[in-house]
Parts: sequence; C-alpha cells; structure tokens
Amino acid sequence: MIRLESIGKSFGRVRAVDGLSLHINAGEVFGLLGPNGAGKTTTISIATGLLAPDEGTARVHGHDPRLAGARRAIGVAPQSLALYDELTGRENLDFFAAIYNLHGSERAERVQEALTLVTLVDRQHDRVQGYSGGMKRRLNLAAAVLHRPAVVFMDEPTAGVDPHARHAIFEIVGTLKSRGCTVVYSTHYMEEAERLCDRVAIIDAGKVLAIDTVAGLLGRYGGQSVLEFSRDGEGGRVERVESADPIAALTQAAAGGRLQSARIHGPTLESVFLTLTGRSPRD
Amino acid sequence: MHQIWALARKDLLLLCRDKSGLFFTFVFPIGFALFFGMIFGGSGPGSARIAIAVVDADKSEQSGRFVQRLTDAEQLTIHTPPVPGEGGAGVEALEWARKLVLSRAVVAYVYIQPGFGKAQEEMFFGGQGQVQVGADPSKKAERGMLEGILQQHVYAGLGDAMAKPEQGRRKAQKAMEMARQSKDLSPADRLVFETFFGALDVFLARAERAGQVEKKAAEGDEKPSASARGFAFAPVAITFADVQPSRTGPCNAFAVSFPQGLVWGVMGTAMGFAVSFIGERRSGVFARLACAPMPPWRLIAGKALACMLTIVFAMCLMLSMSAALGVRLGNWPTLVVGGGVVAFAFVGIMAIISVFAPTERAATGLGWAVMMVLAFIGGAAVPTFVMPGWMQTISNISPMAWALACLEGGVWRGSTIGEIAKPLVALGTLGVLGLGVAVAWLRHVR
Repeated sequence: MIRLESIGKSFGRVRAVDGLSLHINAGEVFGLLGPNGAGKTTTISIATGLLAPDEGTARVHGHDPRLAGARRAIGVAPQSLALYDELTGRENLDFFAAIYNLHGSERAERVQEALTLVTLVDRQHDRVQGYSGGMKRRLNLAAAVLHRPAVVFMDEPTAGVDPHARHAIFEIVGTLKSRGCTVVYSTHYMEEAERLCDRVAIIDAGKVLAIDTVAGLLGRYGGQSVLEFSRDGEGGRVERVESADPIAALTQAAAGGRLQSARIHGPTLESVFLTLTGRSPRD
Repeated sequence: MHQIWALARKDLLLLCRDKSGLFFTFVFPIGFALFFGMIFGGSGPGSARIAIAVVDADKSEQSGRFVQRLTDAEQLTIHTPPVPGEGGAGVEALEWARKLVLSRAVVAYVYIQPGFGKAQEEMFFGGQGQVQVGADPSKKAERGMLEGILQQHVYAGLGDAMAKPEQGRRKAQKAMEMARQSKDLSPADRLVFETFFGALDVFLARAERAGQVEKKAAEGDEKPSASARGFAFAPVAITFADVQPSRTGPCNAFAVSFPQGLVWGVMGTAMGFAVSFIGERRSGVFARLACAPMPPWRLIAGKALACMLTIVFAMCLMLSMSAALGVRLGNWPTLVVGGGVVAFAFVGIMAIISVFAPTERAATGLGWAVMMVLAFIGGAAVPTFVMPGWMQTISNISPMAWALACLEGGVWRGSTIGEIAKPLVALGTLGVLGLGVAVAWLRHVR
C-alpha cells in the first residue's frame, strides 16, 4: 500500500529524515511513534506528496504520491488545523468535498456521512471559530475522509484535546479500520500507539529504530516485567523483582509469607523507547 | 472548473464574513473618492474658505468699504468683534482677534489701523493705509493665499477710485491741494505735481461726462462717439461665455476622484486576497489543498477568480455611485476593457505577493509600502501634473499610472482602446507575469 524506500530530507543543515524505509500494509493502523522533532511530520509530508524527498522513493498504491492517481487515494488530517474558522462546519466540508470533485447529491451525502462519523451533525451550521479544540480536531478528521480515501494520514490528531475528545478520536480511528481504511497515525503518546496501532515504527532523529507489532516491540525491546510486593509484618517494605514470568515470581513470593500487596508492571512502549534510545520520549 | 469555482466561492464567502475586508474593499475606496471629490470640487460644507478675524480700528467710509469687500469675498469667512460700537475697534478687539488665531478658530486676523481712510483719500500724494495681518507663521500656505486675497481687494479699492471718476477727482484735487501746501517740495517738483494732478482731474472730469454719454447711448441704443469711448476709463472689460463640459475634460471633480478611488480599491482587494492566501499557506489548509488531486495552477486560478470577481464588483459599485453623482462616462468599451485589464494586472500582483511574502504581516507591510510608493508616484493620490518633471517621468513606469490611464480613459477622457494600448499591454504583461511566476513557484515547492 505505502512504500517508503531509503528516503532522506534536509532543511538547510537539519537532517529531518535520514534513510528512512517503511512498508505499510493495506487495512492496518500504522503508528509513527517518536518525540517532537523526530521526523514524523516530514515523513508524512513526503508520503502524501507535499514534499519531495532529497533521496529515496515514495509510493502510494504504486504511484508517486505527487501524481493525481495517488492523491485520490490519500486523505490528510494535518497537525495544524486545516479549516476555515469563518465558515461553518458544513461549509468547510462542502468546500473540501468540491475540491475532491464530489458534486450534487453525492457531495451532500458524503458531507452528511462525515459529520455523522465525527458526531458533529448538531453543530454543522455553527461557525468553526465557535467550536472547542476537540470539535475542531474531529472536523479536521472529517475533512480528510470525505472522499473515502484508501489511506488516511493523521498527524498528531489528538494534540491539545481533552480525554473525552481523545476518546472520540480513537473511536473514529476504530471505525475507519473497520471499514478497511489504512490509517497512518503519528503521535508521541505511547499509550495511543499501544491502544490503536497494529504495527508501530519507532522514529528518532529521522531514522526508524524499530518496526513491529506492539507485542513484538514489547517482547523484543521492552525488557522483563517487574513484580512489586509487600508482606504482612514487614512494616510495608516493598520488594521489587524483575522476571520474564511475573506469575511464577508472584507464586514464589506468596509462598514466602502472606502478601499485603502485589503489583505487576509489564513492559511498555516507553520502556521500548528507553531501551532503543537510552532516553525517555518525554526528554 | 468545478475546483476553481469552489476555491473562488470559498474566498468570496470568507470575504463576506470579514467586516474589515469588506470595508477596505468596498467602503474605503468610495469614501476616498467622495472625500477627495468634494475637496477638489468645492462642494463640501464650508469648503475652500479661509476664516479670518477683521478688526476695523479706523471706522471710516473707506475702511468700511474694504471690510465689505472682504466680507463679500467667496474665499473668506469673516469674524468681526462681538463688542458693539466703538469698543469693537479698540485694543480689546485686537486682543480678541489674537486669541482667535491662537485658538486656531481663524487662520489670521486683519487689523485695519486708524488713519486708513484718510490715507486712502491721500493715496495720490504719499498716503498709505496700514493693515496688519497676524497669522501663525507655520501656516505658510494659508498665509500666502491670504496675502493674495488681501492684495486683490486692496487694488480693487484703487480700481474703484479710477473706475468711479467722481471719487478719483476728489482724490486728485486733494493731492493737488497737498502738493500746493507742502513746504518740502521744491518749486520745480510742485509744478510737476500740480500739472499732473490738474491733468488727472481734467481727464477724470471728461471720463465722468463720457460715462454719462455712454449710458445715454446705451439706453437710446445709440453708438457712443470715439471721443467718448476714449475717456470712458475701464481698463478691463469682462464678459461671460457659457462653457459646456467637453469630452476631453472631467465633467466634475468626482470624475477625477473616482478612478483614483478605484485604484485604491483594487489595491486593497489585491492585498486582502494576498494576505488570505499567505494565511492558508501557513495553516494546515494549504497542506490539505496541496494534497488534493489538483494541479497547482488551479489553486492560483481559484484565488485569482475570486479576486477578479471582487474587483469587478467593486468597480461596478463605484461606477454606479459616480454616475449618481453626475459623472458621465466617456467611453464604455474603453472602460470595460481597461477595467478588466486593470483587474487582471492586480490579480497578478496579488499572486506574486501571496507566494513570496513569508508571513501575513510581511505581506501587509511590504505590499502596502510598495503600493503606496507606486500609488503616489503613479498619481493615485496626488495628480501627476502637480509633480516635478523628473517625478512625472518616473510615474510613467508605475502600474498605478497605467491603471489610472486606463480608468480615466474610460471614465472621462473619452479615450479609444487604441489610445490606451500601451498601458493595456503593460498591465496585461504584468498580470501574466505575476500569475506565471506564482504558478511556477507553487510547482517548485511541491
């Protein structure tokens, strides 16, 4: 579906993307995970044809993404909101639908479908400047899927939204996946990648450090699980045990005396990132 | 075409929702044209009048006539001291006039000093009436105008003396009497003066009689004799002829101010659309549009169409208003072609600014700076004929001058399309270049 082969892109002296390769399959939710400045947005810009790579090749549906054949298959929800504040939600969608050559009743139908998907039917006639941040993000997504693209690029779609709106966006991603749409989801939130993505590419300094399913990444780079427990009569002292089999470790701990508390911490993508880069993604 | 129309329709909708944009596109140019039309046409309330305070400290028949002439002058608005009777001519009245100048209620005061009337009677033998003018030294233009007006009315008094022989004779006789009694004159000089004033008295007496003969001849439809005409002293005969507005001149001041207002409106519209395009470039909208299955030229074409339609609508609105104000359009085909090409050229300027200016603020600052300079040297703010010669030469390379030539050609000059061919070609080239460069830049960045 999407193939990026050894692409590189520099802005002056800054090497934004450095020999990055990705193969994204049809129908999967693919996560681009990395801290701010890792090269996620530049990668998406190259994959959507917005930027030409200095080196390497990009293909969407077998076409150069700068050509019309690939563009029809692509939907983009940029990190900066791609909306006109002075227009209503419906007017915005109507305009972008027209840009994608949708006309007449088909256009009206697609606009209605998109408004329903992002649950903004009730506010469709309000100007966007009166929307909350979460509503704007949802409308931004709706504009990306009006023409029923085969692949949707979402660049930090939950930036600056509250947990409720974030949940709504997760549901939209789920709906798109269920319709067979390929979603490329860029984020620096580990929990979002864990929750939504079938496969994740961990990117840092313009390079792909690892690509796999979440479970695969955790298994390969997440390290061992950690068991934390305390026993009765030990004054609340917490013991910490690392183990590949935390259940066996818990059984062993229980055999040594009555447990007051116990907690198992599995490996996370944060620990994967820490293993791969030697620093936290929040640094 | 659907995509281009969708882009243009979106921009027009955005313009309709932007009150400040609407103001600078439609209201400001009309206000500009009305304001300057009224100023240059003198049809505004209180226009073209200089306010002055007049203090007559002489209170003579002659000073009264001088004050009356100033009061009757169209260029002046006269304020006289509120204190009635003699008190109005004294020191308090002069102080009152000074305060009016200091408070800027009037441009100047005119103080007719005591002895003015007596000096007028002795004008042929050294008499010199004294008039003091008090004015703010920083208001040089008003001072100059006022000096001219006062000179005009002082010499009108002299003209009266010569045109009304009975007054002139009285003054000539008075001068002769003074020359006879003067102890400072040598016998030879006294003889010269007596001879001159005596001859003047005789001349004016004959002129008085000739005037009566001429009057009787006019009543009786008779032709006055050559001798009578010779003594009838009237150095200038003024007659009036009806002058109709011609095809080569503006029928009123609005015919001049509306094309200038149109140029400002076109500039404002072009700047507004350029800034909106930069706003889209800097937001995510441009990314979404650039990813759409649409070649770059359509992005520019959509913006250009919206800009063009707005300019044409603003032109129609302004021309309708100018017609309501009595402007008779000189040549419709020239106006339609000229207006269209002007709109196209400014769409090209809009396209260049919109792709090269990095931010909205830069576009606003740079665009207005460049356009203001071009507008001023191009005659959109100050008519080119008041400029120095070298600046008139420079103004020939300003797009504003070309635009004015096209619009004025259609509005009041009555030019044919052939007569404005040069500015049409220059503007058309500018439009094509601007749009071409913008499309090339968009292709390059993609």
